Amino acid sequence: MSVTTDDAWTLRGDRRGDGPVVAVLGHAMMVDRRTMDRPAGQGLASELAARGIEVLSFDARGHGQSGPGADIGGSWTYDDIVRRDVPAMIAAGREVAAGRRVVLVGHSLIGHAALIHAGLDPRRTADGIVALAPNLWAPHLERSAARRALKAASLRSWLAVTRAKGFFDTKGLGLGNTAEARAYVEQFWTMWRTDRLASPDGVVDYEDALGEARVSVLGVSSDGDRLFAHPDSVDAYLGLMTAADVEHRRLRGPDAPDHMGLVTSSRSHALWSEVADWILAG
Amino acid sequence: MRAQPIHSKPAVPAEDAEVWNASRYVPGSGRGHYESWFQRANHPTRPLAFWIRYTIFAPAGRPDDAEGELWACWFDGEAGTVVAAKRELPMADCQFARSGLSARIGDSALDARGLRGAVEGGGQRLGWDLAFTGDEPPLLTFDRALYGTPIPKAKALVGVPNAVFTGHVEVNGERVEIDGWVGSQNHNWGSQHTDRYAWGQVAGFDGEPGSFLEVGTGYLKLGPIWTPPMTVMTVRLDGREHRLGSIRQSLRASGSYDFFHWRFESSTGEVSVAGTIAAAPETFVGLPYRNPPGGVKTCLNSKIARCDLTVRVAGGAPRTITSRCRAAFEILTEATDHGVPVMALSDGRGGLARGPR
Repeated sequence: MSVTTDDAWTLRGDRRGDGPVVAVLGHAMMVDRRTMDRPAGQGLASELAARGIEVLSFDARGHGQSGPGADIGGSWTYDDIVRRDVPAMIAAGREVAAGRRVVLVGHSLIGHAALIHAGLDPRRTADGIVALAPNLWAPHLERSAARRALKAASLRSWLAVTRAKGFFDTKGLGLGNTAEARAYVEQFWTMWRTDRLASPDGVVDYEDALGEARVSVLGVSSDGDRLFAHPDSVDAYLGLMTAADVEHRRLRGPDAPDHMGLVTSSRSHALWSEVADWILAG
Repeated sequence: MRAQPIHSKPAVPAEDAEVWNASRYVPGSGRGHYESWFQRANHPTRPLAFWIRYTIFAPAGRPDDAEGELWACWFDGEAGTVVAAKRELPMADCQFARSGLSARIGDSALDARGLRGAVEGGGQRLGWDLAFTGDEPPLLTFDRALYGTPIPKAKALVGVPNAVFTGHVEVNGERVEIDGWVGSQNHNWGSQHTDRYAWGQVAGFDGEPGSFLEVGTGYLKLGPIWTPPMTVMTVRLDGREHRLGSIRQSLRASGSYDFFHWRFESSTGEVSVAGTIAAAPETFVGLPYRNPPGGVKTCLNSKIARCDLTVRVAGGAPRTITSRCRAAFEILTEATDHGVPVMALSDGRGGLARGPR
């Protein structure tokens, strides 16, 4: 299946299962929707479908089957994901749902983008959002000096690689399977450098939007996620949602999955079951 | 350089045509951008051809001044005429899809099935209603890895090689039936035009309907220095694709052209390709191409040129193939001594007709 954004980018996806609720799944940066059902047929998407939830899963622009990718000239910003892809995915869910509840389940990128969108565009948000490892990087949202330094160094190196090559070659660096666009990486760097979460032109304040969102949220973090979305960082990000009904579920212990493991590790099966419970409970 | 059979292991899968044709234009960006989708085809045997181009032009630093441009040319080598027209429209009257092939400039539309529209300017009017089909995979002018990198600044590819067109075109009120004419659907974009170039293409050499040639020789200006000629080419012949499109190979190749003869050659250990493209001056029309960083260059455009090509695959005998009057031949230049009349523009419209009335 596919849905077209309001700037005419076609997002490809798939659909499975049936039930009283429609879950719209979206993936992390540097990867595609296949991560939301790994191994295929036994991952998060399949678990939700097996629990009686109709599942739609989409590739964000430039990712997976929603090309063109950044490695062949595709270009987008994080703002495009927030204000164009997320509402298009939810709109597809609403159409399929035909009156049933729609819950967005976003891992990392689509998770934190959906939370911002919920505040920017409340009429087009989902009935609930499950955000797995949601956070954006900004110095004031990172209490650990060591992680602040590591995040700054990571962003600087990503930016340097991106500017040299014209796009963020995640495959070449072993970070993922999908290239990210230069404008996307530039926006992340700007948000870090200015210590302000905002659109590239500075007009749209994402922190204000998070404060405006009034949606029900299940946020998930894991002690095994040591940099991309450390539980403390997720806590700080979710803490910006002062008007929303937010539940933060933190996975603890030595077996807690890492950032990608939240959706790709078989150790996360119990979590996926909790997610299904939350979705079905409404 | 590895030659690949087209159908068993294409350089680009056919299903990627919509990805390769998607617009790279980012609305609101101030970087400067041009992008065009052009369709062309020739009569199977006679020196007749059309060329229709849907274009985005966004000047650097002035994103609000971005426009759509509609171009069309008709070449009649029998009557000795060339008719051309252009119209510019504000971006508010245009749509370009970020996925797949879908463009609309005013009332003129293009998608993966065909194109319909009209353009009028300078007393000339061309209209078209054409469908096209094609099952060959897209053909890349450069190595795939160069389509996301800053260099080359101008990217080009053939979305549908050997596309078969049906329908009609109208040239100043005269209707011409297009019944199975073979040509191509193409896509190019960039932050600026290649500073100087010759570009050529043959969709099906005479007696070799599955063959295809895409070739370009360009000069880049790096500060005050001009690079040596860089020649890239891709040939499909006998079910194999020979892509000589890396930067290194482009510098090893040779290419030289003047008004209006072009000679090019590129060899690897596996294949050697050498050819010429030439056309009479009176078959050209001069089109003013605005450059996103500023300035205007002239594109000397003929679609009824002759091409002779010799391909030698390692271990095999050389094959020489010819297209007598079905080659595309363009030269982008700042020169004014070429003798070809150049279309003048007024209020975003232009038109030009050459040859006997």
